[in-house]
Amino acid sequence: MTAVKVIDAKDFNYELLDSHSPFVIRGLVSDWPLVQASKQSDSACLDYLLSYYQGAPVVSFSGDGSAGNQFSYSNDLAELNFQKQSTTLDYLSDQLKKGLNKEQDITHYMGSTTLGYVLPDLSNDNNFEIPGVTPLQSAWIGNRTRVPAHYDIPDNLAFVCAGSRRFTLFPPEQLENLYIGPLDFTPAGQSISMVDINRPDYKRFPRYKIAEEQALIAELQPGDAIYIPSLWWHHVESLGDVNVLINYWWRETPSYLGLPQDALLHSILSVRDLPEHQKKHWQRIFNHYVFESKPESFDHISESQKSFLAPTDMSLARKLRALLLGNLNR
Amino acid sequence: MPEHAVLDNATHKDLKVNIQHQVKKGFDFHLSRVFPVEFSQIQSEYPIFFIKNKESNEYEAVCLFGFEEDENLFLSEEGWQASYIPLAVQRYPFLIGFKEKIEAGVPTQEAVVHVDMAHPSISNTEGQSVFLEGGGNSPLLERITSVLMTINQGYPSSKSFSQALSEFDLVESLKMNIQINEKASHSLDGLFTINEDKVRELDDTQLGVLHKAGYLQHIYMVLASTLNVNKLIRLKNK
Repeated sequence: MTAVKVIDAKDFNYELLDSHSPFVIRGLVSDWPLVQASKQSDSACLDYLLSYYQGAPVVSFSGDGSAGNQFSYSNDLAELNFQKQSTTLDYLSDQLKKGLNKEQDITHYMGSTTLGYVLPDLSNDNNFEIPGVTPLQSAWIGNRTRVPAHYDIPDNLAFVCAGSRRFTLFPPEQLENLYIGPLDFTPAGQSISMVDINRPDYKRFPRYKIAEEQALIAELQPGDAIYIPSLWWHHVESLGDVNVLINYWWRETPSYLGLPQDALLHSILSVRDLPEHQKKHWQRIFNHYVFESKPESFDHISESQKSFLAPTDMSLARKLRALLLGNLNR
Repeated sequence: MPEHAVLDNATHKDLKVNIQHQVKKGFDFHLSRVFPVEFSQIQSEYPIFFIKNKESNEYEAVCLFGFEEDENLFLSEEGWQASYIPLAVQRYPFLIGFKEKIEAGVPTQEAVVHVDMAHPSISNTEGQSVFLEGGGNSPLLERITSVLMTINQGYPSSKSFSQALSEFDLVESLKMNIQINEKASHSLDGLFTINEDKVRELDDTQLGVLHKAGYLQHIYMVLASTLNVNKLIRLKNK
């Protein structure tokens, strides 16, 4: 395991966000009032949050802490090892305050919740401008919890606002060494690694040793930020009595494009179970049209006749979507 | 007893629906909810009245199929005896249910199609398939989905129409004694209608407000529709 590259806030520039490799920025948002409040005390931080709250119902996870505070599955994968409940931020805050300076056994966690929904106007006073993107801003609030390694599709800039937070990152190519659970039945939308990285069971998950060698670790304090590129695996452990994270997600690609995860499901439906020799051919075809597609591969077709082979603009996206919708309904 | 289930293409793989608009086939009711969006078709076939929802205290538009519980005079061996069937009847045996869905931490109510597995039209052998061979939506399901969506969108417009009627105090309890024939008569209890005199007394400003919202047209369609009571009497005397 090695440490994630760390830079100081004064050395940050926006081009670094195009680097496609993760890094930590110390003190990037130390001046946020939210961070200042948390440096004062955990209670002050919660009160600061509540001053923006207008009562929107939120979803909170709670577990008995038995799986090392990890939100995952029961041993036989039959169910999740925690409860989801609809609640209020006031209630969540009360629960967190009760646990201050105590051994906690019950975990409480409000995962990625649209910031403008749960804390309207908080971003007026706690904002980080990224030129050229309108990110989805989310809030994460809880006590000592762990979210198993998973990836997200957008690029991610996450700001730790309260509590320390340990990120363990794995490059995208560690997919097969992380023993990823079901695609559809997931704790919070994304498939997760079945490995408990704090106490890995190497007998059950021998290849995890390889992933572990490639892991990058970072521990962030309030005010620090981390850039997690699209599709990088990340395990997130919050270590304080009260932990608050604000994160920004954005996609570099236009929103009219389809979602790659839908293409994956469609390929499972249509390609995965073909005979091996046919699948090989399809692999070549997919490479030609998708993975290794270059504009010059289609120079033998006149511009006006390229249609699906021209770069996808909004009108082509609509045409493809309509065609697929029709074809899928059978 | 209805048996509502969330419709899905695995559990209900072979589900078929065999609609028969005949007596004792699941359509034996004497009234049905109607929505402003269909008033023009409704008023040419059925009398439109209102019932008062005891919970919300709001008036809900209904059309009449008969004079007593379970009496639907439009049912026959040859099917439904009218050129238009209200949306709330077309939807059978399907209905809308709501499921909580959490998107980016925001809980939302997602409308999902449910089916009443106890409805007499449910079959595994006769009628139209609900799903296509590969699990896609059949034309029947596509049509039903659109009916259910229209109904779902009809609730808020229904509500605002009803609120306007209350605001202008245009609703009155129906005082109508229906003479079916020389021997039998019916009084229609619990129904409300629009008071025509009160509509006539509205001033220009009030009329302007109602007209702009499209409610004036609704009001006249409701008033005109009441004549269809005569059609019900004819069907009853058949």
